[in-house]
Amino acid sequence: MPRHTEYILFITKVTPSGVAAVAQCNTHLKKDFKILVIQDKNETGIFPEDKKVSKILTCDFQKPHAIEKILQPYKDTIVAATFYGDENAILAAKVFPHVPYLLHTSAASLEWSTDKIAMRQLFEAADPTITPAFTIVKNTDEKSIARIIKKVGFPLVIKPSGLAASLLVTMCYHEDELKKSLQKTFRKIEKIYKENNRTTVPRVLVEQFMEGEMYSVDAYVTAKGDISFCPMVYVKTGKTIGFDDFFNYMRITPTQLKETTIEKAHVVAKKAIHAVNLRSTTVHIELMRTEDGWKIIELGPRIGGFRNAMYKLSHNIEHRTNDLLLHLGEKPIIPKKQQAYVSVLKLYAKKEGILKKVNGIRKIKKLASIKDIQLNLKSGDACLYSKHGGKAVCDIILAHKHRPQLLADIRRVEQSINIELE
Amino acid sequence: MKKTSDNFLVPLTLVGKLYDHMIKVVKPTEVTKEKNILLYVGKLFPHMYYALKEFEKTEDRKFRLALIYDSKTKLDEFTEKIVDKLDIVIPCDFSSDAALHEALIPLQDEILVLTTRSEDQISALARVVPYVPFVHTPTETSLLWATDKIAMRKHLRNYDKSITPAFMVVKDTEKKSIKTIIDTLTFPVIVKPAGLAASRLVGICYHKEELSDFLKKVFREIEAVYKADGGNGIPKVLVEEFMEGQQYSIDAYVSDVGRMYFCPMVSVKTGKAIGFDDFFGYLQMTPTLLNEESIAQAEHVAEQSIRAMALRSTTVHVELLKTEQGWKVIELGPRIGGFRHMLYEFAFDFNHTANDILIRLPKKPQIKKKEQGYAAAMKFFAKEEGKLVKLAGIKKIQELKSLKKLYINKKVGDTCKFAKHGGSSVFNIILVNKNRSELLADIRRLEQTVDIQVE
Repeated sequence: MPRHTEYILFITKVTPSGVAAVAQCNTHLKKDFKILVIQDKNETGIFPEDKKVSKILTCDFQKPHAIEKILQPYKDTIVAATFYGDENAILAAKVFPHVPYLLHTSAASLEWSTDKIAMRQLFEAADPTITPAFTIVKNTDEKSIARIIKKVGFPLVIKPSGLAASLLVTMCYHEDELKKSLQKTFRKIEKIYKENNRTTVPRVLVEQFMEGEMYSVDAYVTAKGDISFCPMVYVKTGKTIGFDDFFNYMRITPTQLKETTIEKAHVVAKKAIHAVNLRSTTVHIELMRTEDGWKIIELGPRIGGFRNAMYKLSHNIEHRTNDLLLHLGEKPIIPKKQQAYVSVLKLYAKKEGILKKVNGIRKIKKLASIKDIQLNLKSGDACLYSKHGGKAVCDIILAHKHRPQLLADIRRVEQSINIELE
Repeated sequence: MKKTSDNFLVPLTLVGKLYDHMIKVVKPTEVTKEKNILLYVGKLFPHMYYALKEFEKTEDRKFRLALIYDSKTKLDEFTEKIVDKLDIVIPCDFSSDAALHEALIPLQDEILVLTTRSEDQISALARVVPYVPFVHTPTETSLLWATDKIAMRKHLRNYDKSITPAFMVVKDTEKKSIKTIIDTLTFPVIVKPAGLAASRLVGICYHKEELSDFLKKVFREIEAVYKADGGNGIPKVLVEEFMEGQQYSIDAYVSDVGRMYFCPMVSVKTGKAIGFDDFFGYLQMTPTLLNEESIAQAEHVAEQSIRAMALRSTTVHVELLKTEQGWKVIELGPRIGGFRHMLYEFAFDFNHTANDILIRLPKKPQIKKKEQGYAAAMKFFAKEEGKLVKLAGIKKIQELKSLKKLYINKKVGDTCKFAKHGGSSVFNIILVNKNRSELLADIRRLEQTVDIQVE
């Protein structure tokens, strides 16, 4: 191994955009970083998507000595380590202690910020006003139900701890619904944890439902805790378009929020980041704008879904490159000039069933705003709601210089796409 | 023929129910000279009758309840239920100045209050106002402005551009008109036929093709709907910029000298928020979760809108939108808002119907701001348009603890249309609970229980 080779370590996987980000870093910093990927041998089916530029190391992440052994030859040459996706945070927490001289967040912070319960507890400790009332449940007995009603009240949201997205997230308005939903959740949670290769112990968070509008923001946290924010993103959930499900139906950036409102959101987001002691990481924060001010829904020590594409199109922000710069101790570059309005739509079938056909894809490809259409399911696949572990039938990225034209194209997409079930 | 309050003459052509009314009016009364008539225009519902009886007790005073209505139209089913209990009923041809004159001049010194309850009777009220000069009323001009969405927008924008969206008026669907809209306004836009109540023929358009198609549809249907609903004036269509935000409403009482008294705010969830492509008021609930600062700001904007319309001596229902740029006025009407008498009675224990009388006396309305509970009014529409084939779950929802009133408007076989196509709800329901969580739980149970099927 030549001494001059410097590596950027990706935990579990590197996406094509990650590969591109390394190339951009190389150009920007006049370097020649290579990509190194470390994988858990138990994580089957996840491989680097661009093998040509990756060096892949595989070991058992359950054994610290196995990680140490496989990293040993590279330790002096790894200059940064990062990961993509919520599900890889726990794996990163196992790897980071073996590369102690790099800029990354602590393993404990990674665990806290991927555990909905620990997160809530830390938020509450930092500032109770930024988080809703909550309690933790391990079973469905009468005592637990009584505690939920007393401590949280209705309406409430059931959130299995440690699950990403809106998997098994359920809203309950009364006791009967709570009992049924909790039983269902505990029955399914084990199965989903297994399918998602979860190694953590299932626990369920029950929290007060917050009424308001949902937003999110990605931020870069330096080693010293300084925070730079990317533009805010408005999020419309499935609930607001008639689904009994919390999936993120539409994201749109920039928002219509005033500067003063954004500043207030930043104050609350900062409190949340500092509450879980995150540093040297990109953070994705979901917020609720309520009548009583901004509240934290949750955060993750990662780049938010679709944010790489959204920020690139809206402000020419190289989000993944910034994530690497942050880990390299460099300042992220956040251009302020807006290039376009960007939206991501996740389309689900109105009912659950077997997918027959998706009509209208060809038609919407002609729309001026369309940037990307990703079909996630094919004919014969099961269409399930997000709360039941289902994926969107398709994801659509749209961008336009003018907001009204973007909204018009969103409307055309909504009117053109017809998801047929058998 | 000359009429006096002691000797009314009514056209002999009136038969049946009208004959009874005639008898009631013709029969001389011993207290006819006392100024104690509460005259309602067009409609008087049972709940109002009972609220006014309560008011009599509170005031320790007797009133004569009177109704004047256009003899060319049928009384609605709710007024029919109460009409026999009224002291004076005056069917009158509202298109005839002479008829109005003959019907009202003899009562001029006896009418204490002139008012109306319904949005669709405001222009009728405006017709009556000049004949009842010795009571506190809004000017007929301000009433007419308030019934015309276009005049309303003009007055609001003249008063303060920041409280209302940009708009324009369309009279046809020619390419030139569409182009002018596109050049003048920013999409999305809301299309609203002027002079139609509720959300009739109201639609949102995001782009040129949608606007063109929708306008054509509106102009095709508007004549028929105007005719059926008694819409006001020559068909004109208002196109205004769509404002993004959370909808609320507030009822206010405006005194003869412009003093405003605000009732508690009501949050409004439209059909759009539950997946319909329609703007009907799905859920209206009070008290809201708004903080005092937000309410004060909303009241300020509502007050501006009332001043813009030069309204006085009336209750005003103001629909507002809470946007990032502050509170905006959707529209306002010189009347009590739909379901508001019940929402305010159940949630705050005050008599909205009585306050509507008090402000016209003029006396200070009695508003209680301390919540007694939470109240919600809901309108249920079929998810699709068609013939109603099943309405299930009605019996079960009557067991809900929060249920106060249930009004079933359609039966199996009736046509279900969206509000924007001139349709009315399948049923309306009023729910009340001391505890907000329990009210929300019952709303959830209701939504999960009711099954409206069409074919």
